[in-house]
Amino acid sequence: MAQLDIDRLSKFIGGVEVLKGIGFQVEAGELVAILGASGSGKTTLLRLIAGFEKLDGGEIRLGHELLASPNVSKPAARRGIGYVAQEGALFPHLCVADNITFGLRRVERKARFRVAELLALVGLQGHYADRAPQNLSGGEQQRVALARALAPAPRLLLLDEPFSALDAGLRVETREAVARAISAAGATAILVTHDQEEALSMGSRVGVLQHGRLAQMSTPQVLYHRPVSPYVADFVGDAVFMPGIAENGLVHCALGALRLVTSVSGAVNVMIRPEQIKLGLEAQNGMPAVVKRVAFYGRDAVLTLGLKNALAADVTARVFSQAVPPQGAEVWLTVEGAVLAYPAAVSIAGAETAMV
Amino acid sequence: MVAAPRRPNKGLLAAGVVIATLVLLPIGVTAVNAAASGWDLAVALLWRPLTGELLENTLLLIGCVTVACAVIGTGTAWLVERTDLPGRKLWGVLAVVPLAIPAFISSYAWLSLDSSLFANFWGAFLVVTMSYYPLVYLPVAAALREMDPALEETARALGNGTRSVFLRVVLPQLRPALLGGMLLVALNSLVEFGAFALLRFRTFTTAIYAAYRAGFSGAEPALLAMVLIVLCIACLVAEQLVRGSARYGRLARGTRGKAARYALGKWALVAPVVLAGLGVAALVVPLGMIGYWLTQSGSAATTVAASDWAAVLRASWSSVQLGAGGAALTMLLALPLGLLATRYDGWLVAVLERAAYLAQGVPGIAVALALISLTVHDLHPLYQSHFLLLFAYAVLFLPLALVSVRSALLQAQLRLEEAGRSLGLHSLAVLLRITLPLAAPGLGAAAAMVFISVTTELTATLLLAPIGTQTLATQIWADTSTVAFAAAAPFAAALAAMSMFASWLLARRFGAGSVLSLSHGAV
Repeated sequence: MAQLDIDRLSKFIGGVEVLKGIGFQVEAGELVAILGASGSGKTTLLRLIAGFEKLDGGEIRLGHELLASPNVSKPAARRGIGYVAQEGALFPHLCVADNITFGLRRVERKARFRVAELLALVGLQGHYADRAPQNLSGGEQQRVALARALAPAPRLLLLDEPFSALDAGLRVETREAVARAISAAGATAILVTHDQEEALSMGSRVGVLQHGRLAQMSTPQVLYHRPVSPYVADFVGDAVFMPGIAENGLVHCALGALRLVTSVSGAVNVMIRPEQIKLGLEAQNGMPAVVKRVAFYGRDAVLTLGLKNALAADVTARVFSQAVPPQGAEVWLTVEGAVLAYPAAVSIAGAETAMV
Repeated sequence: MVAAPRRPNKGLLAAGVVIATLVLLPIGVTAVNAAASGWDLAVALLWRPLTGELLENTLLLIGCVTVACAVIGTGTAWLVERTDLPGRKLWGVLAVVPLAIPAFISSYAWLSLDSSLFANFWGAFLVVTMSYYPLVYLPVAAALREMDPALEETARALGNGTRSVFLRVVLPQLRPALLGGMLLVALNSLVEFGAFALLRFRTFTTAIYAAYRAGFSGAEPALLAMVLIVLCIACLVAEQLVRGSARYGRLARGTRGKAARYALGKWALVAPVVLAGLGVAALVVPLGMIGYWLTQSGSAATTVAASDWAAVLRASWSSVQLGAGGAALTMLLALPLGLLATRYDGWLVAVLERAAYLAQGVPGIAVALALISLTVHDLHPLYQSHFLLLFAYAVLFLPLALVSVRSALLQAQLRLEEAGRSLGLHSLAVLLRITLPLAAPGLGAAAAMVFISVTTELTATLLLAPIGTQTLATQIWADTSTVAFAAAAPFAAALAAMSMFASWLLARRFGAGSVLSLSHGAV
């Protein structure tokens, strides 16, 4: 039995259907990440589960209990669902300990029930208890917000882009601390984000929301290596697309004859991850190309490559920074591993217009 | 960015010292006059039943008015900002308009409705509450708007119902705005004179006026004025403390959603009725009674001077002239202080600025009496001169102007001026091409606020206006005092129209909050 069961969820805002029949389950103890661009409906989904808004169709069940349907709406205050807002939303008039115990009964508040334990859980030292929220860094505020949400032992924890306001270094550190705390607490959680790296690294499963529909929900590995559509492929990572003809498990395209992951045939749209494209400096059996631009990132570099033998568009390749050829260099391209291909009618643009 | 402390030039500093001294002059004169009575007389004058009665009257009224304003102001703000109340935009505007109607005009209206029913504590309570609840409404509504909705949502997710969310999350964060607004109400009620005098309710201000009229030596009015000044300054200091210590910075910096609105449900019918009742008491009665008396022929009312339109025009013109003159003199005194406060550091600058704000704690009646006692003998040419009246206005409204001047000058941030200098502009060009264009709207707003405040000012005008000068305010006062309600009506209509129109212009240009500054000490 799934902990959270969401079935055919639909929601209209101002006459526009922002959620169109969303359905998925979350198992107890699981952390599911929902990834979506702004306007995809991901925050609305979270607010419906929390009970801040009413749904127009479908059902939300937690355990065996019906929380919401078009006729039923259990008040947010009685759902027992923890919520961590975008910037933490710590109560500015209360110290850290009073924030953490806010959702507890009066006796427990007086006794500062579990404050030290929760602070330790989110990786903060005990002396933080008496600090004012104003004196915490953004990352510390998020940790306290998490401790506050965990304090009443919620049946489900919702995290609404909790790291988006933090700067890069702090984001990774806070993300790791939060992931540790959630798994140590054994909490069931849903994380909503627009950051694919965050979703892939934190979620045991990741769902991609596209214009109010759940385009795909699977493990991070499957999502990255076998996206169901060009849109998902492009959204969860960098992707190179090019036309090709598929037959007998091979696809013929500007980069040669490549092995296919799935069995399709006919005109296709080939998707290759930039890190799959390998560079050789001598004429082997690869495709000749010229390095047009180099974007150096330190750990690796992204090259824009113009293919010589074809009218094909430029491709990008991600290579280790140790082996970056200079601009203008001639290189030979090969593709490592199998590639994905989608029926040619579905281009990225086509997918989007088809959805709208 | 920490800029090196800059030393002001000597001329500007000297001007600042002179201005601050002039502004504090009335407090000094009052203190000297009070001290001149000697200890024994002072004790005898203050330690008698009359003082006790005044203190009781004043404090009881202020307590009731402040609490009533807090409840009404917060309730209205909550309904307008946080519920699905139909027509809430309109209600929001109606909640602010009373600020543009001087309390003595409201008391004229209620008094002319029934002169026996309202000439007592309850009449005074009603009039002052209806005049000043916007002082709570405006800051509380702004605080509600600024509050991060995620706080309330988080509290709900943690198991709190609507009532509990309000008590545990909303109210604690409203506290600075609410307390600040309540102290403004208290301060305004303390210095209110016209409304109480017309309603024959005895407070410190009316007693001071009576003592002065009865021709007592300077000692008694000065002693009572000193007590009043102490009470006012206590309010002022408390307000500053509330503002300084309890302002919770917003933690979130980024985007935030719109605040949730609560469904009124079964209250959807009750709330508009309550608000409508409030609107009737605060606006319909004052404006309606003026309209009613306008249609009554002069003979129907006990007229002193038959109201002719030429007199109304003359009085309007006087009011406009005094308003313009007062605004000009006030701005002239506010600019050097504003420049000092925004462009230079140092203890002397800080002291000068504080001194100017302290003047808010001096009621109009105390300023007027101090200036009279100063000029009646020693500087007689100034006594009952237009200049003295304008100076009184400048003292009264300098703090108000200074706040706007200060924020206007801050609009032209230092780094913009530095950018100008790096582009090769010399100091005068920086002033003309960067500072003033950026500050101009704010300076205009400051002048407009002073103009409105001067035209609706009654107390100092009454005591200091040269013989033969009648303004709209003094004419309303004279006619109402002699129960000539119909005669007062055209003057009241002209003043209310002028004040409401100017306030509307101000609010449209600078937001509803700017109207808040029209109250005494609301800076």
